[in-house]
Amino acid sequence: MLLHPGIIGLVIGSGLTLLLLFSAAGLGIQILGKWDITSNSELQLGLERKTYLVSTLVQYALLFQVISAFLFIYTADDMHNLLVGAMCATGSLNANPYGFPALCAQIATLFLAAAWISLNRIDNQAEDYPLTRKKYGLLFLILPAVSAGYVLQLKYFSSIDPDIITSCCGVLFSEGGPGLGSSLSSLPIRRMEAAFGLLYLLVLVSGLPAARSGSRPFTLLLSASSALFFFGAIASVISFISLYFYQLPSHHCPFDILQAGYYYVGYPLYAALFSGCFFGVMTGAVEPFRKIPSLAAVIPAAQRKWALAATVAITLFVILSMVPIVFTPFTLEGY
Amino acid sequence: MNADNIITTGGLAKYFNRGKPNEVLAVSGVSVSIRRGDLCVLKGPSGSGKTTLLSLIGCMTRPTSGSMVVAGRDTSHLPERFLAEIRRKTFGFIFQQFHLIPGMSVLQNVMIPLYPTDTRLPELKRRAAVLLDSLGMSKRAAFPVQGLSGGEQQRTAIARALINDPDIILADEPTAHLDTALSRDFMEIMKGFRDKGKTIVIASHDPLVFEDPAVELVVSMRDGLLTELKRRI
Amino acid sequence: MSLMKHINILDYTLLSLLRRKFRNSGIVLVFSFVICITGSVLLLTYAFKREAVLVLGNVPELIVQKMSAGRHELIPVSFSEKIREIPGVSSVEPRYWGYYFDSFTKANYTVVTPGGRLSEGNKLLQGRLPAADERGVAAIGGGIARTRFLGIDDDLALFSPDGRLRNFRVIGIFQAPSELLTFDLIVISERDLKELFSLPSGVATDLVVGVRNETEAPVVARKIRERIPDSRPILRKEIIRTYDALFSWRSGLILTLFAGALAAFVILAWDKATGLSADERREIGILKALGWETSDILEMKFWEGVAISLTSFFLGIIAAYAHIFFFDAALFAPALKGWSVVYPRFHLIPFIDPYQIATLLSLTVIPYIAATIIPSWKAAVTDPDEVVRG
Repeated sequence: MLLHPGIIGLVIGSGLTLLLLFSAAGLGIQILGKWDITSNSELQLGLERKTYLVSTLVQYALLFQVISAFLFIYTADDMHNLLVGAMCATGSLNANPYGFPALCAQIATLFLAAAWISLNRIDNQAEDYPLTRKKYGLLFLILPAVSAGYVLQLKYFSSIDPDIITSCCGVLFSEGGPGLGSSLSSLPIRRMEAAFGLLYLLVLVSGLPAARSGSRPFTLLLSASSALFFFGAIASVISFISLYFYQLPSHHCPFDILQAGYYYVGYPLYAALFSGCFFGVMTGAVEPFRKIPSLAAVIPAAQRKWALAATVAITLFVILSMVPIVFTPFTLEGY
Repeated sequence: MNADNIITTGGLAKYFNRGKPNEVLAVSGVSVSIRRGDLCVLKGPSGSGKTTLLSLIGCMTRPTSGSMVVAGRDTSHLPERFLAEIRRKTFGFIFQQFHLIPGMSVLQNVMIPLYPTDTRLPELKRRAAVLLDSLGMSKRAAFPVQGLSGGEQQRTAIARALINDPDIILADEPTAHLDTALSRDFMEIMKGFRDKGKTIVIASHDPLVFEDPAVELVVSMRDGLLTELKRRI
Repeated sequence: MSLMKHINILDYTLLSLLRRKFRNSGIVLVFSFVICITGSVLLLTYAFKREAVLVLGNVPELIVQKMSAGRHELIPVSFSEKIREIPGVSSVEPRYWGYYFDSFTKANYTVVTPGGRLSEGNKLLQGRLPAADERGVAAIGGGIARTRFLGIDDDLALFSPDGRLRNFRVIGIFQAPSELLTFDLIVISERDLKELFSLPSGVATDLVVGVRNETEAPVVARKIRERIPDSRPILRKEIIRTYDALFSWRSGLILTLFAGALAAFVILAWDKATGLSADERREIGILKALGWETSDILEMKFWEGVAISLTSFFLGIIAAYAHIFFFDAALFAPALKGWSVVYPRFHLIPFIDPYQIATLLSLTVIPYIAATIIPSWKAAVTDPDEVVRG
């Protein structure tokens, strides 16, 4: 089972991501132990130079992780031919209990690595590098996520058994079935649509003022509303957005839109959602660092930029998901 | 401290290979003040520490101890990231061996300091061309640098040092590879820039440089120590 | 987010790369070769998978064979009645076909009867198919036509098991989207086929079972086994899965064998990148002295990696594409095509998708880039002061 080319690619690709992040963390320990920004010693100079290596390692790791996440979904998708009962990635991921946790760990790594890079960007703009300790602390938070992702992924691929019948999106996201997927699918569509609209409104009323002024209550509100929007949006994709893309009143799969048959629309859709929610959450997350004197000017500027990015990306997501609702004759009236 | 001082150092010291058997104290306890618009020469035999002092002033390396203020900003404790920014914005460098990058044209060499900035390439090319023209090098712009004569190489190096419109020009033994006539030319060019308000610091042991009547400040060094500070004007 | 700066650094990187044409083209050459081989394996695998899907698209949902002593045997046509009684079965048809080994060309031909799914996807290049009861005529695949130099109205001579020579007039030659499908095909009428292979009456090669609802097929298959214990029902889905697993496994095996070469390349890349020449070190020192920052140099190194890997990637993948689809996978067809007997000429349908690109990227470019991170960093932290002091 492990000899599928996609799986070999993943084992190499995410293996290297793991390796990079572990080296980064190793360097992080060295740096944390002896860091003294006021010193002019050659040791401190050496450590400062090592910070460049750490940030390079994490940046490359994020790049690899993006490719790996894509490959993971696609490999799962490609494997549905091998599995009885699977018709797309949902079926393959559902083939054993490691599939979905592995996917979640991949996404968590993606977010954490991106957060680290943003924090690093901010820190590098202040002459005294005030966030050094927090940054390397965060690095140790990334490690368990990426390790778990790797182990789960290996477990997932090694324990796939073509003879066990798996249930695919038709079952997992069917209305009235047990489990989270089904409960999301059977949410009342009208109310879900309203909630989706309301969440988007919340993002707008917090995001636009935050982008304009970067002032406190709005950044925190944007953070909270983006986080809510993330889960709300995923629930909405399963509940009603997917239905319009497939033009089928009962097909709730969040993965099929990644396939060529739907013009790969899932990629821009999820890219906009992920980046929008990421920047939204970051806007409020850096709020406590504002009181650090050397960051007093840096943070609000970054917050305004992020708030704008979040609002634009989330709006793009909403527009993309509205396209089939507005432009296709398909309607959910009567279902 | 005088508000007119563009560079002020206090007890500046620099060790190389500190704590190792080959430890060297290259600069020791140097305190100098250079005024805006000065033409200053760091004088001394080779190994006296004048080149190290020049690179300390130019923010290329961090002092082991002592203080340094460039254009009102304390640079002695800055991380490398910020030192690079100061180098790019405040200083123009002319190296002893010119240090042009072979295989690239004169124009491209002149553009190098401004590549990592937001200046658009066409604008950057235009600026480089104007500078080369003012130094009489415009017909050589597309020429690969390895085919230039010594004087032309130096003019290219001067143009490169000026592309970022720096406040301070630093030159290390600029006349070491030039004959007398070209050395005089070089000093004339430097005086021209001084008259336009730039501060110029030259490290040299060439009498043609430090005995030039236009030089305002001569800093003499030996074994890393400042031996004499002579302001002529 | 200042875009201009990054464009400028990219511009400089390309200038700088061109200065060291010779050194860099060496690494591009080796890298392209690695990518070409890896890419060939992937492209071939997926081309095969697609061929299989096309071939199997014509396979019925459910086939019933008779087993005897663990081997496939001719099936009595009378079994059809028992099967037709099973609920959900819409039709049962006997099928007649067989393999003919041709000692002239040392190739195996597949001999089938006209009708059913055969005529659907396959275009005839010339001529027509034999009618159901037409005697002494045949339509043949392009491969047979080429190897035996046959055209329309020529005679195709075949031996029956008792050693008698039988002549068939060629009335059609196939052209299919996938040559794999019809390459070795001979189509003759049912009676001709029975005579050619000396089939006893009342038996067929296998039975094709039509099922009203495809999802019901496994249930029907189970019931057939219950009613006729010595039968073997085969589901289309099962065949597809077996083929799929087989192709993935084979290409995985080749890739694993190839991992050695890949590792060697990564070591080479590492070596090349760590062996920073005095010249390069000087250049970086100058850049830094002139106000470039460590992260600018790192970015330059990143672009350098991107430029080298992308150039190699495109060269490699174009070479792989040509290798597989124009030169018929000459290098390792024997390893992958093992199950087919002899194919004198063999063309695959060009096919490439983003998944293959992503797989290839993580198999080749990612290891290369990872190998160059630390060397790039070492170069980037060069002390600008070094240049000044000479």
